Amino acid sequence: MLDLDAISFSYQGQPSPSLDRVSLHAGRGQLLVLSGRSGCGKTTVSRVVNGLIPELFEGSLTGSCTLADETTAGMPIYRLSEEVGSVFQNPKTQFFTTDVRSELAFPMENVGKSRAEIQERIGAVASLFGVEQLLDRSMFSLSGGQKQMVAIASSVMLDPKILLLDEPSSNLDSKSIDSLAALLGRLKASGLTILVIEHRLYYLRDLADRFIIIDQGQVIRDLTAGQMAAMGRQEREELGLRALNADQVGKVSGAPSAGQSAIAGFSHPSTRSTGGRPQSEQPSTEPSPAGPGTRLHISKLTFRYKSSPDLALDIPDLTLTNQEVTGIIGRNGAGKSTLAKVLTGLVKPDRQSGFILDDQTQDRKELTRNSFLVFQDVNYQLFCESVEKELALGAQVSEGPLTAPVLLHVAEQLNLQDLLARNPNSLSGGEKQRVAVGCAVTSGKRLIVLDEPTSGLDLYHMNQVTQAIAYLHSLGDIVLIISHDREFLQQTCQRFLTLDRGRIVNDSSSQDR
Amino acid sequence: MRPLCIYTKFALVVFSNALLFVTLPDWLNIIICCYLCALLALSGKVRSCLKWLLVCAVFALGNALAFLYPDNIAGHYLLFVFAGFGKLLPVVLVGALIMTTTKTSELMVGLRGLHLPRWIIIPTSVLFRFFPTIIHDYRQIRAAMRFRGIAVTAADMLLHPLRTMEYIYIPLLNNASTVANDLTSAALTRGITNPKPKTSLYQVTFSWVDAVVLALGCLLTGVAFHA
Repeated sequence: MLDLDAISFSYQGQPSPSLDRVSLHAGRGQLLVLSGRSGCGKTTVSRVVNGLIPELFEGSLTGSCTLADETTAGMPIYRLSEEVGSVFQNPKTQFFTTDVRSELAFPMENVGKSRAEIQERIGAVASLFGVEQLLDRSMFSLSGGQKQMVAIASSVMLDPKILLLDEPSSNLDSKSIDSLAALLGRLKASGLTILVIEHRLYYLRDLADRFIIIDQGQVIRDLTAGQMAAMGRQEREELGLRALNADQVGKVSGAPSAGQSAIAGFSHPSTRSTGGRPQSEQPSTEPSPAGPGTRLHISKLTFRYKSSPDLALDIPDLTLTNQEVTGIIGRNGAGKSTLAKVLTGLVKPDRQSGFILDDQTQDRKELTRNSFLVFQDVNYQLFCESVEKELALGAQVSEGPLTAPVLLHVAEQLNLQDLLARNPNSLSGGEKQRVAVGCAVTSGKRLIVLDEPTSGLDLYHMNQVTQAIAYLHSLGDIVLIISHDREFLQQTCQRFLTLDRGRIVNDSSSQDR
Repeated sequence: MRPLCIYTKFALVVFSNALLFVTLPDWLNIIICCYLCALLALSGKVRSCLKWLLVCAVFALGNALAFLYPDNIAGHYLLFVFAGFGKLLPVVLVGALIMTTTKTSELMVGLRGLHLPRWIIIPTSVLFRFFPTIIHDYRQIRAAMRFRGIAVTAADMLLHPLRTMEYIYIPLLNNASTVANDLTSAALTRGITNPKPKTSLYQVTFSWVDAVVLALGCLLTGVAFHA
């Protein structure tokens, strides 16, 4: 069905090739998983297949791509779009219209199908995907998981031969990932050839025919599902791959990575002039010793959105401390992000809600002053032309201005010391994330919330985020993590709060209820 | 109520822009603003209708009190704000009406119906899709600024306008280029450049309400040019 033969590609203005003689074959009804470190060239492969190379991204392309015995070179992108459905990484910008029905109709309108045909196909696809009740909703009102479903539905409207998915699970909770997997199974059974670019591998274990591992633009492994399952942990981690088994993820990599190498730099802790407390050797596996513990006490918290009569949050009593890193888990739409916004003062809860941080009552402005929210999309929080200026912007250290050694120390702790002169915008996703964490540290905040910090990160960058969080914890800050990523949560958090419809339904030291 | 027909909205764009070329007596200006606000309510946006009516009232009042302004720079500045920006109100109102009540698909049908070339239709519809994204981005950036203690209050924004602009623009522009790229990819891989004649699921319906609205619009524009 799909054959790539010795494809090489270099983006214009870049000396080194992004793809180097990549060959792969996918038969009808097969599902191939493309994995590898961030920046290895996975997405570039998908762009060659769907024609965005050379239509939108220019450069030098050699080799041949054959689709159902027809070479795609010289085929205009609108022809190719009838054969190849594409789903992109960011659910926010991958839809073109503003409501679900139009979004599904859009590809069919472009090829000039009649209104009756379009309506019939929308009905069929909507029931296959279980999105009938969303058809008249605005795209902006959908959750990340729902957007993802609509995006996939829209890309199969023309009944393509090949479906390309770029990290489809990165914004989904575990239940939505299960339904994504079930859906991919149905599409595969219907004869669709599917190419999935992904870091999270566990949900594809029983679906994939082959795993193709790419490194520096080259295919370094082409494995059958059996070979992949048999791979040892060490080899897998050397390849920069994440775990294949959701249940084993934490047990395998939990203990060692939390206290390991890069945070050995903990030995000189109090260079920082605020809040530096002595650290335990393994801050994330063993709670820090009770000391001047920072705690946030929340009472009678309720919050509702204007548009809805239901309470979006209802938390009668909750205490968060710096003794453990707390993971906030629950389904998409359970109120996790709303809780983060309330705790950081971005939205105003109902009047009787009380917040006490270390015996001081906090109003909304004080909450904002004492907290920092690292967004899922960190691009919005980077303002400066260099990482160094970024870390210094808004820096507030209790004893006078931020000094150079303190800044350097923070940078070293977060592995940013070599990037200080770089423009934050030119960094990779994982590096940007650490710059934002650094800003939270230099601005002397006591409560730090990270929203989905590992979405789209490979194993290496995930471990770096884990280390950054261990560093925050060692400084004595209250750290909250909102995430769906079990593998990551297992190795960073000691306490798990499960939210469901705005209520805390479980508060325990493990993720499993 | 049902939103207006897309062609009626296009006509409103023409009317409101034509009005910029003539000087309007105050009473007519007020009537035109009320007429446009009423259209918002007609499309079911009652709350935004009331909000804009209030804005119009402030401008009308400011204009009416023009003779009280002191004859110095501050007075001239106030007069400029009320008269200058007040003049733009009809255009802004039509803009608000179109942005809040039009679907992208509807706009594309409308533009195609006018037989405009593709190089106008495609960028216009991408741009139309771009605005809501930019508004969302702006809110995110303002939230991020609060955590860094930059321009937290409105007073800060007014006292340091240049610095504030800089901190808003840099992330906004950085993101805008990514968003533009993503939207283009989404449109290209769904066949927007296909030269075949396009169809549309959306049906353009022209009702008697549209006819009344258009007739009123013609009448008001006619009076404006005559007066």
